[in-house]
Amino acid sequence: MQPFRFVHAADLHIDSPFKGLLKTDDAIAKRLHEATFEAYQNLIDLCINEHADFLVIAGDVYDGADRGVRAQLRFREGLTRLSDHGIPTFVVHGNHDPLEGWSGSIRLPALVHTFGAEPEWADVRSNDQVIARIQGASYPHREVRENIAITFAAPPPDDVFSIGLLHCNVGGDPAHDDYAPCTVDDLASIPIDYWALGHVHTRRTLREHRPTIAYPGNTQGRHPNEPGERGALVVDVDGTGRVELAFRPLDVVRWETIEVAIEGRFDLGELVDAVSEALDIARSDAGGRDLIVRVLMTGRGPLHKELGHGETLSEIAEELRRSFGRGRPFVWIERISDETRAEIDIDMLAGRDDFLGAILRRAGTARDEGDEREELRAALASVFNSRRFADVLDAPDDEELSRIIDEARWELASLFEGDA
Amino acid sequence: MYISRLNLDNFGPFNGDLIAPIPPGLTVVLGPNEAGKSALRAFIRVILFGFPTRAQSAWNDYYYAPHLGGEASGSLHLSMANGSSYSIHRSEGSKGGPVAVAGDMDGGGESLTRLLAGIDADLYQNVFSVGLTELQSFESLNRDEIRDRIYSAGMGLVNVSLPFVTKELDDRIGVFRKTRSGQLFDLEKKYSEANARLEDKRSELAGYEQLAGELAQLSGQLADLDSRIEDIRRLRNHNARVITLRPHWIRAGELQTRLDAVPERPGFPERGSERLEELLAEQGHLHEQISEGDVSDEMQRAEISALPVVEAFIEHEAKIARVVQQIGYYAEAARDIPGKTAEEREAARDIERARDELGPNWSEQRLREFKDASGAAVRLQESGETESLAKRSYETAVTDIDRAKAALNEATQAATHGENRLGSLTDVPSESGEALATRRDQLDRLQAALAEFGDLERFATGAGRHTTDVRPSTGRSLAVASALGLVGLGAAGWGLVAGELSGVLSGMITVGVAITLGYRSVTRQSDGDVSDVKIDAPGQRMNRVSHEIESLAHELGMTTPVPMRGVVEALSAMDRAVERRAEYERRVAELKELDNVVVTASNGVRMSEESSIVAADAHKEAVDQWNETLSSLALHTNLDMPRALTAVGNISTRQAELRLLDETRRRIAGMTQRNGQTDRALAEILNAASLPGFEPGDGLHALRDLEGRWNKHRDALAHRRNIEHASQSWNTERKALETRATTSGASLDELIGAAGFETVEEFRSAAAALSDKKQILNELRQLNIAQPELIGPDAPEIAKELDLMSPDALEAQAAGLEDQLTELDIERVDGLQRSGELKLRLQQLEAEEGISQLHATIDRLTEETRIAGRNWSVLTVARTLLDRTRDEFQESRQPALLGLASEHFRRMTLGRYSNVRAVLGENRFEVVMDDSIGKRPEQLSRGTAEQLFLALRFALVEEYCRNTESMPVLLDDVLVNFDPVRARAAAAAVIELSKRHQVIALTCHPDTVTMFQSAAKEAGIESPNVVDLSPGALNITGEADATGGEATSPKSTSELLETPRPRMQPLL
Repeated sequence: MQPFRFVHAADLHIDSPFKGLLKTDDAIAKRLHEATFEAYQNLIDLCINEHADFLVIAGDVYDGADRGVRAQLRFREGLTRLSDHGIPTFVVHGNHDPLEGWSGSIRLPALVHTFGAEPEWADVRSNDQVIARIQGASYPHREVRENIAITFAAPPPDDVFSIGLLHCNVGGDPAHDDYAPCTVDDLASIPIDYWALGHVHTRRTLREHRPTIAYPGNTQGRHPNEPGERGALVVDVDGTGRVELAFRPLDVVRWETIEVAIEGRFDLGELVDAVSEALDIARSDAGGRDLIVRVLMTGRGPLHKELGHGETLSEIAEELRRSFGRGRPFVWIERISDETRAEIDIDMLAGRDDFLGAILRRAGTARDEGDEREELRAALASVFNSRRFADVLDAPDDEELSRIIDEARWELASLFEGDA
Repeated sequence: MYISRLNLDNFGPFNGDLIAPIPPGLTVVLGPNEAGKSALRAFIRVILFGFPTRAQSAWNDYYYAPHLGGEASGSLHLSMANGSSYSIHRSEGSKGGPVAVAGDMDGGGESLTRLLAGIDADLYQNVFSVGLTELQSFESLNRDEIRDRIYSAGMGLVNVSLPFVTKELDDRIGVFRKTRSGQLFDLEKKYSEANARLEDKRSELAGYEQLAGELAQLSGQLADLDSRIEDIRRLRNHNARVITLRPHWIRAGELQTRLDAVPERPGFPERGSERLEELLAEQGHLHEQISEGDVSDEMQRAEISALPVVEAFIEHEAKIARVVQQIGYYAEAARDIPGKTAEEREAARDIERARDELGPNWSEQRLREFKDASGAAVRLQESGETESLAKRSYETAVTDIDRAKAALNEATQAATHGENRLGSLTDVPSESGEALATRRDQLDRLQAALAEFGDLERFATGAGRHTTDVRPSTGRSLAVASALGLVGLGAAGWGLVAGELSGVLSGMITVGVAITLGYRSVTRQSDGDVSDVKIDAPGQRMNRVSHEIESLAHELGMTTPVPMRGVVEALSAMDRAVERRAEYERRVAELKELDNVVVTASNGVRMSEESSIVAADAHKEAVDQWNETLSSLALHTNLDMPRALTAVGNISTRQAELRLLDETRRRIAGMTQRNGQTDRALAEILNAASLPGFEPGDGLHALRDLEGRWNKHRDALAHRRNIEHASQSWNTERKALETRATTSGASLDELIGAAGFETVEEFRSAAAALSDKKQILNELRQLNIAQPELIGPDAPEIAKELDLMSPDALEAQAAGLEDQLTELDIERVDGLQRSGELKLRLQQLEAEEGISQLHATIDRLTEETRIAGRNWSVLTVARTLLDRTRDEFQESRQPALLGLASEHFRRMTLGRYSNVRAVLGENRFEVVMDDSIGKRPEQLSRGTAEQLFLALRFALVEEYCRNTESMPVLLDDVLVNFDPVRARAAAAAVIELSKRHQVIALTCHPDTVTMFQSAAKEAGIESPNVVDLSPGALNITGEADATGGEATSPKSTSELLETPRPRMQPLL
C-alpha cells in the first residue's frame, strides 16, 4: 500500500452568524462575520502546506439550506485552489446543507466529488494508482432520522485503504440533533478503515484503530458552548494501513468562558481586577487569535447584592471592554453572567418551621421530584406554550426546569432575608 | 411587649399628663364621655405609627389637636419580654412626624419598625386596636393584605413581610410580562420584524435564481455550439488525416503481400532455430570438456613417477618420526657433553683441595658423611676461647708489673719536688694560723671601737639640730602618704565603677605606696624618738667604748691611747703574716700526701709480680687442651681458632659442592645414553632405506640429512595422493559429461525429427524463412504503431475512403469544413458577450451580505428573548411557589386559628356556639351552634356577631404573636352591645387573654370595671389595674411623676367602685 496523507474536516458552517451574542460593535461584528470564511481559508492553506493527497469534508459546509451566494463562491474559490494544486476534495452534505437546499448554479471544480444521497464509492488516485477509496452519502433533506451507516457497503477485498464519509450522531450525543443515528459498533462492523465523521462540533476520537473513527470538530467555534481551539485532522496512512492523527487548529476567533468567584472579595474594584487578570491569561492562551469572552461570576459573598444593583454588571462589562480595547487581536467581553448567590445559609432557612422554611422546602422538593414540578411548568405555559413565542423560545426541559426552580428558591430566600 | 408608661405631653385634652406604671396584664381605663378615652387610643396609635396627614382618612379619627395649642407630641415606654425597655417619642410633623427611640437600641423610624415586628398601622388598627367601628365589620379582617400580614407574622418574617415579597415579585415579573409593553413582547416583536426582513432577502435571492437560470440556459447553448464546432473540427482533422495516411496504407499492402508468400510451417517448433543452435553448442562444449579433461589427467599421472617418495620410509614412518623428533635434543646433548665433563673435572679438583685444607684424612666419603659440624664448632669455640682468655690474663699480669713500677717512680719524683718547695718558703711566722686569726679579730674590733668613739664624740656635739630636721620631714611624709592614700582609694573606686581592672590595680598600688610612706614616716618618727633616747645617754656609751679600746689594746700588747693609724698598720701586717702561715701549712700537707702515694706504689709492684706467675701456669694448660681438640677432629694441628672454625664452617659448603658434582656426573651419563639410542635407531633406518651409514660423532649430520629426505618424501607423498584423488574425480565427471552429451544428441535428433527434417541443414533453411516472416511482421507493427488508424476500429472505413476517394476529392471536402467552422465561431462570440452581461449582474447580487447579518440579528434577539424568558420563568416560579405555600398555610394553620377563635367564641356565648369554621371554596366563615346548625355571620344577632369577630381577633392576636413579641391589645368599649351575661363571659375571655398579652380596655361604664374585677377574681388573678380619666384625676398622677415618684397611683379601685353606676347604653 502506498503511504498517503489526507485532511479530514467537517462542520465548516461557512457564512454562519455567531450565536448567543448579546452585544458587539460594528468592527467586531464584521470580524465575526468573516471568521468562518477565514477558518475555511486556513483549511485550504493547511491542505496545501501539508501536501495532502486529498481533502474530505464530512457535511455542513454551509450553515443553512439558503446558503448564500457569497458562501458558495468562497467555497468554490477554496476548492479551486486545491484543484490547482492537484488536491481532490470529497464532500458530503449534512443536516445544515442538505442536497435539497438552494444552490446558486455554481459549478464546483472538476477535482471535487460531491456524494449523492445513496452511499457510493469514489477512488482517490495518485500517479495512476488508486491509493484510497471513499464511500460517502449526503443528506437528501434536513432531518434524516435513519441509520445511514448500516447502508454503507463493504469495500472490495483488496488492500486499498477505505474511508467512510458521513455526517451522523454516533452514540446519541444529546448536545446535537440525533440525525443519522448510529453506534460505534455499527461503524466497526463494516470493514472500512477510517470513518471520517461530521456533525459533532467537539473534536473526539471514538476509536483509535481498525477502524479509526473520528470527529474533527468544527473549524470555527461560533457559540459560548464551543470554546477552545477548533480545526481539522491531518491523517497519515502508512504502507501497512496504520493511521496517525494530528489535530491542527484553524479558528481565527476563539470563545472562552472565564469564571470568577466573589468569595472573599469585598470591593468591586478588586473583583474587576480579578476578571482582568483572568482575561490576560485567556488572551495569552489564545495564541494571537481574537477572543470573545463570557465572564461568569460565581460563588457567595457580600458582592452578590452589589452585582444585583441596576446596571452594575453592564457597567463592569463596558469598563472591561474599554480597558481591553478593540484592536487586533481583540478581547471582547460578550457578557457578564451573574450566578452568584446571597451569603445566606439556605439549608438552615429551609429547616425552619415558618413560612420561609415551608416555601424553601417546597421549592427543593419541586426541583428534584414531585407533582408540583408540573404545576410550576404549567405556570410557565402562558409564555412557552404561546404561539407567539413558539419560534423563539423552547419550553424548558426537565434539567432546565430544575435549574429554574433552584434559582427561584434562591430568589425567594434572598427576598425574604432582605438580601435581594 | 407591653406599654409601661404614657407621657401625654400635648395631645387633645392632655397636656403634661402621665399614666404610669402600667402593668403587663389588664388595665381598665375608666372615663366618662369626652374624658379622653378615644384620644388616648389615638395617642398610642400615632406615637407608634405616626401622625396622619390631613389628606388621609385617618386624620379625623386619630388626629387630636392640642386644646392648648402648639405641636402635638408625647411618648410611651415599651417593655419587652426579654427585659429590655424603650422610650418612643414622637412629635407632629411630616411623614408621620419625627420619632426617636431610646433604650437598649437607639434610633428612629427603622428601629421602631423592628421593635414592632413588622406590624403597620393598618394591621394594628384592625387586629390589636379594636373599637366598635372595627368590630362591627368583618371586612376589615378579610382583606388579603391583613391576612398576609397575619400569616407573615406567624411565619417569623421580621424584616420582610409577605406582601412586600409578593409585590416585589409582581413588579419584577411585570418588567418582562406586562401586556404589550413587557420586555418579552418587545423582543418578540423585534424578532418577528427581523424574520420578515429575512424573508424579503430570500425573495431577492429568487431574482438571482432567474438570472442564474438564464445564464445557465445561455451556457447550455454555448456548450451546444462548442459541441458542433468540435464535431466539424474533428471531421476536418479526420479528412486531413486520411490524406496523410495514403502512402502508409500503400506500404502496409505491400508488406502484407510478402507475408502471404511465406509458406506456413505449422509443425516447426517454437524457437526451433534458437534451440537447434543451443543444442549444437552444448554438444560441442561437452566434447571439448571431455577431451581437455583427459589430457590434463594424463599429464598429472605422469608426474607421479618423478616424485621423491622413499618407499622404505612409508614402512618405517613412525620410527623416522620419533628419530627426527630427537634431533633437537641430540644436537643440544652433543654440544653440552664436553662442557659438562670439563666442569665435572674442575669441581672434583676443588673438592680435593678443600679436603687437603681440613686435614690429612679427609676423603670424599668422609666429607659426604660428616654430620656434626656445629658440635665441632662449639668444641673448637670453647677450647679456643679458654686458651685466648688464659693468654690475655698472663699478658695483663706482665703489663701490670710495668705499670706499677712506673707509678712508683713517678710518686718518688713528686715527693722529692714537694720537699724542695717546702724548703723554699721564708719568714714563716711561728704562731699557728688559728692564733694569728684571733689576733686579727681583736685588731678589727679595736678599729671599730676607735671609729665609734669618734662618732660618739661628733654626735654629742650636734644632737639638737638633728631633732629639728627630722620632725618636719616626718609631717610632710604623712601628709603626702594621706594624699596618696586618698588618690589611690579614689582611683580604685573609679576602677570598680568603670569596670576597669587597671584602674583598680593602680589605685591599690597607690594605696600601698601611701601605706608604705605612712609607715616609714611613722617609723622615721619612731626612729626620731629613739634618737632622742640615744641622745639622752652618749656619755655612758663613750665610756663603754673607751673601756673596750683599753681592753683590746692590752690584749694586743698595744699602748694607749692607741692611734687609729697604728691599728690600721697592725691590721695590714697581720694580714700578711696570716697569708704566709697559711701557705706554709698547705705545702706541709701536700708533702705528707706524696709520701703516702710512694708507699702505695711500692705495694703495687710487689702484688703484680705475684699475679704474673699464676697466669703463666693457666695459659700453658689451655694450650694443651686446644691441641687435643684439633686432633680429635682430624684437623691440621697448626690451626688457630679462627682458621679452625672457618675450616669446620666450610664443611657444609663443600658437601653442597659435592652434591652438585654428583648431579653433573648423572646428567653427562644420561645424555650419552640417549644419543646412543638415537644413533642406533638412525643406523637401522639408513640401513633399511639402503642409505649410507655414518661415522661415530657424525650422528647429528646424518640425522639432519635424514630429516631433509623425510620432509621431501612427505611432500611428494601428499602430492602423489592428490593426483590420485583428482584422477578418480575426473573419471566420475567424465562419465557424467558423456551422459549429458548423449542426452543432448538425442534432443537434437528429436528437434530435427519433430520438424520433419533429417539433417541439420534442412532444419536451418526452414528456420531462415520463418525469420524473414518475422521481420515483415515487425515492420507492419511499427507502421501500425505510427499510424494506428490503419488497424483501429476506423481502419475499414479509412481503407474504404482511400480506396474510393481520390486525393483531390478529399482536399475539396476539407475546404468545405473550414467554411462551416468560421460561421459557428461568429455565433459563439455573440453568446459569450451576453453571458458576460449576465455574470456581471449576478456578481452584484453576490456582493450582498444581508442574509447572514439578519441571521446575526435574529440570533441576538433570540438570545435576549431566551434570557428574558428565563428570568421571567424564575420569577414566575418563585411567585407560584409563594402562592402555593400561602394556600397551604391557610389550610394548615387556619384550623389552629379557628380552633382558638372557637374557644373564645364558645366562652363568650357560654357554649351556645361550639365552633367557628371556614367554608371550603368560599372566602368566609360560619359558626356552628351546639345543635350543629351552621350560621353565617350575617345571620347572627349584632351582639353575637360582635362576639364572633372579637373571638376571631383574639385568635388572630394569639396567632400573630405565636412566633413574635406579643403586642398590647386595646379594646374600646367593645362590650357595650353584649347582654350582661355574655358581657361577663366576654370579660372572662379578656381576662384570659390578658394572661398572655397586655390588654388596655377603655370604658365609660364603671360596671364594666366591676365586671373585669369579678372575672379576674374568678380566674384567680390579681385585680386589674384601673386608670381613671375623670377630670382632675390625671393631674394628680402627672404631678406625682413630676416630683420623681415612680408609682403613680390613680384612684383606688375602691374609690372607683363607689362612683355612681353610669347609664347603660342601649343595645343596637
